[in-house]
Amino acid sequence: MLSIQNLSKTYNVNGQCLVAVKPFSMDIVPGKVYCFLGPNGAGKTTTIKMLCGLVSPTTGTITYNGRDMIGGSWISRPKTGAVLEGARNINWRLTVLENINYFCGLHGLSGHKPRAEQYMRRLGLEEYKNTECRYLSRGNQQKVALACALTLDAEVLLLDEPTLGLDIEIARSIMEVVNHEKSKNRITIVTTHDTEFIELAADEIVLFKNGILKPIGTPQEIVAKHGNGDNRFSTAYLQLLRS
Amino acid sequence: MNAVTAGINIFKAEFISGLILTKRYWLNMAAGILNMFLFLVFIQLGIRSFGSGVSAEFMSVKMETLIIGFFSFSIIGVGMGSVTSRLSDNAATGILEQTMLSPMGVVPVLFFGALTQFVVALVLYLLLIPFSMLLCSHFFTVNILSLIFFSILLWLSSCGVGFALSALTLIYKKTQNFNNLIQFLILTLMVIPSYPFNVFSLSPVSPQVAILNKVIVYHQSVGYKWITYTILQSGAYFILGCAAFLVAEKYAKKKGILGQY
Repeated sequence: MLSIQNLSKTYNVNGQCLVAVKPFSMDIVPGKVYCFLGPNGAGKTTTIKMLCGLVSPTTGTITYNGRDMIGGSWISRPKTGAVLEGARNINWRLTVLENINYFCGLHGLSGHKPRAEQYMRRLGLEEYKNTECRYLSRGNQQKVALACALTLDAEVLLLDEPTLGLDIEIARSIMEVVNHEKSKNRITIVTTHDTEFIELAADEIVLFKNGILKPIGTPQEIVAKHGNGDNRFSTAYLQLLRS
Repeated sequence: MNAVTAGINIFKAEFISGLILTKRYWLNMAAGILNMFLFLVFIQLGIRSFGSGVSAEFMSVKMETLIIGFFSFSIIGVGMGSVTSRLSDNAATGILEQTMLSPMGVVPVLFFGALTQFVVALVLYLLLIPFSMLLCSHFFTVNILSLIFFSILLWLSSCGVGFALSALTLIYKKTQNFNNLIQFLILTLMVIPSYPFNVFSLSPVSPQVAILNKVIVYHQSVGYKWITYTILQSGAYFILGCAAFLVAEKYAKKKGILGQY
């Protein structure tokens, strides 16, 4: 279990305190997909970056099965795979397979080839495996980033807007893979604005609003509570934001 | 997974990707080798042309000093440049944050990347120097083992400076011009008299360059005390550079500016 206690982030910008994330605590259990949802600038990316250690929290702790994820030694930290916001998670000068091999190597792994083949097949990247990533479409580059993160066989998987700017077919294939990965019993956290992704893959929704995080239930519960008879998640979400 | 296995796998990943990119961008590599070779040849031909009026003994020493000087400057460039340019390149291409997700952190990744480049540069120089001398009909005897050993010390010290400069890049982002200015400092450090021991001996790369000159060019012995001091000083600068980088990394994480470029 991933346990977040009193986690917050405040930036000092030109002498002024800017609260990006107000203190919050929550437990995240493996085998479920947690979706962080909220307007732009609400603190979703900052939280994801705190979880993967790229931003230091102002207060709080993050532990994975009792092991400190921030201050602990590298041996005690869980293996973390992440697809960060934007199109630049991979080396464009390397091919798909070379990227997977490279990032697995950086995580100290060997013997990952069968997993790499499996994820390339599942994400429809097999035909591009020897193609340099600079020649791939934005969608396929995003798939490569996901394949790299999944091949690590990470205990914690963090995806920051994985379907942003992708066509429906590629977005769907990413959703399906994320859904399928639930059986791996890993911690999965996704930030997204994609309501279809939430309807198809999310198990728990965490709402970010004005720097405050609040677990608000499953997509079905939110639709039932805030949908006003409309069974689309987007309607319920909009209602929730306005309330 | 222990630290040694993880370290070996990181080195393998860096080495293989370096090899792939060298092969893929072969024209750049070929031009780089040609550049090195022509520098070596023209140094020798230039000295021969200028030195036509001086004694053969003087010219020989002068040429060896220049060749080893150029070699030393290149090794410093590889040590510093491979760390700083790699960090800037990773930040610009956006994979710096992914690199930082490596469980051991980014320092081993940068270190093994730099080590790969050093090994390649050293092998190339060991092939190109004799070949250029053959072409220019100029020969001098070199103790290869000493050359490799003292080159490692020079590289380690330069690598430490590279990490310290990269610390600035992490925080201030665009530091290329500052790094270019450092070249002049390095040239100064290379020529200041740091042997026998004096205050200049405390500066990075100076004692390493001095020892290369003494042992390789002038075939002099420098004594075990001096060698021990140079080994410790190289290690100390490397550790100091890494420590500066880690402090900057911590600051960048606190400010949330790690991946912004």
